[in-house]
Amino acid sequence: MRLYKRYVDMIVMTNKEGKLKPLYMIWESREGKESFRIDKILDIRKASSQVGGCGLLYECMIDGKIRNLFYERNRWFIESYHP
Amino acid sequence: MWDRVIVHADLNHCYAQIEEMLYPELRKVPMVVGGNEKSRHGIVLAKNDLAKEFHIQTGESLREAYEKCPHLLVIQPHYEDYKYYSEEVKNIYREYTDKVESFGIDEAWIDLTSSQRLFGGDPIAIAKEIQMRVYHELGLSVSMGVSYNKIFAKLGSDFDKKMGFTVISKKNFKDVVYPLPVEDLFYVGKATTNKLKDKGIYTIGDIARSHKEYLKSFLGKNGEMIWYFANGMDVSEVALSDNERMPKSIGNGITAMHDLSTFEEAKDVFRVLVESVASRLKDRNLKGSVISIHLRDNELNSYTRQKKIDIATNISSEIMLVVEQLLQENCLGSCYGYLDRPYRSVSVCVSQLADDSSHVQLSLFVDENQRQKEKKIDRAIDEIRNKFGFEKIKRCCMEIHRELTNFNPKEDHVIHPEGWFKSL
Repeated sequence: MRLYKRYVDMIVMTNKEGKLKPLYMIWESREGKESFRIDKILDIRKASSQVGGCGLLYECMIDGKIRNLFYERNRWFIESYHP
Repeated sequence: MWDRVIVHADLNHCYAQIEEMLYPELRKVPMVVGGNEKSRHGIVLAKNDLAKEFHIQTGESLREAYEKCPHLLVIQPHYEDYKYYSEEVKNIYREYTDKVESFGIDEAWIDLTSSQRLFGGDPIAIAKEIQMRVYHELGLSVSMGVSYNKIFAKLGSDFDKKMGFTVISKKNFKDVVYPLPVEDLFYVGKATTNKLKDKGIYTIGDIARSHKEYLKSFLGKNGEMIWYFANGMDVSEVALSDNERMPKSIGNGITAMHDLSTFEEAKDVFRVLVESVASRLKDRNLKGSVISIHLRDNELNSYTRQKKIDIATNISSEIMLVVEQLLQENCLGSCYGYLDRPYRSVSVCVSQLADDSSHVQLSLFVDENQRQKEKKIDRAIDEIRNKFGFEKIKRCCMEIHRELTNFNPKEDHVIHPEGWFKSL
């Protein structure tokens, strides 16, 4: 299945050391906005994305599925199955 | 463990590759990053592999490129992205050593001599690790040359442009380097190549086997230098990462929106350039005493004229005065107010730089109070521009030829040219 690059709004916690922890992802669609909780962060590493761009990859568990969230310079995108 | 480990890393087709990394679909079509044709910067800055198949060359005009490939996709350059990602690549290099010397935006020498033991002791494995990290973390491919001097390292990285990896050691350099044509050697350009070929010297091996004095006799000191290069005797150091060299000159130039035909047009364009140069000099606390102008006419013939002044300066009005004199003496045509021919691009440069804070002998014949006032005006303009933006203050004359003077040379796309001799 083809993946798309979708920039998303995020709710993120910045801790005292300046590290970022994504808490919720806000998904916008025709039906409106929906927030998804980041259940678990499995891995954090620098990586390039197959949908273009690179940055800090947060491999996350969202809604029971593994998803790749990228922090690219100053914004977030997700490798999405929906354009 | 090697006595000396120098790696040269080259981000291939830098601009095009960064665009492809950000937008992978560009890999499927012939694409070039090109300047703006309307503002007459319409040349190919970088090309992707598919464009290369159509024999499109970097530096040729977009018109020529379209002739070779009518369905060519031309992307406008995004210099901020290129600077950001090329710096990210260099940040990876800097994790391995403090000796990373940039050579332009996309190339760098990395000296692993002192740190090879820290990372396992095998220089080839370390260089490969760096190459793979750049690929996985940033999605960019760099070609690498690993050698024991900077010249052979660079030669190695030019060997294979597609994420190549070439090792030129003291053992194999004669087999690898000697059969290569002379023009592959660093600092052998078109003119030197022709001179060497006239003397029957065709390969780098031929240079190495020639007598040093013989090369010097017809190439001057460059002949001696390329003899050392060819024999692998280059011992120049890789500069430390935070080592900022003193500039030898500060200049700005522009290809105008349309050819400059009158003296007033040329003067207005030069004024914008001079303001930028004066401001950059003051930022670095420098002043200069040689002012030169460079002009290129619409048939691409170019020439430079320069003038030495008695009192070194960084005041825009003083620099502008000299520029006007140079223009009047060299470029005025027979028809009043017109230049001798239409000019396509112009630049101004201030050299023989000195520290602005040092004590100076005042001249009896110059009103120093007036000079200081002019300097204060320059500073005030710079402050306003820094705080509120470049557009917020300008001289009224800039409104006359707005299409020509509507640019900011200080901030727009600043790529500094690199030379080898700075490191010697």
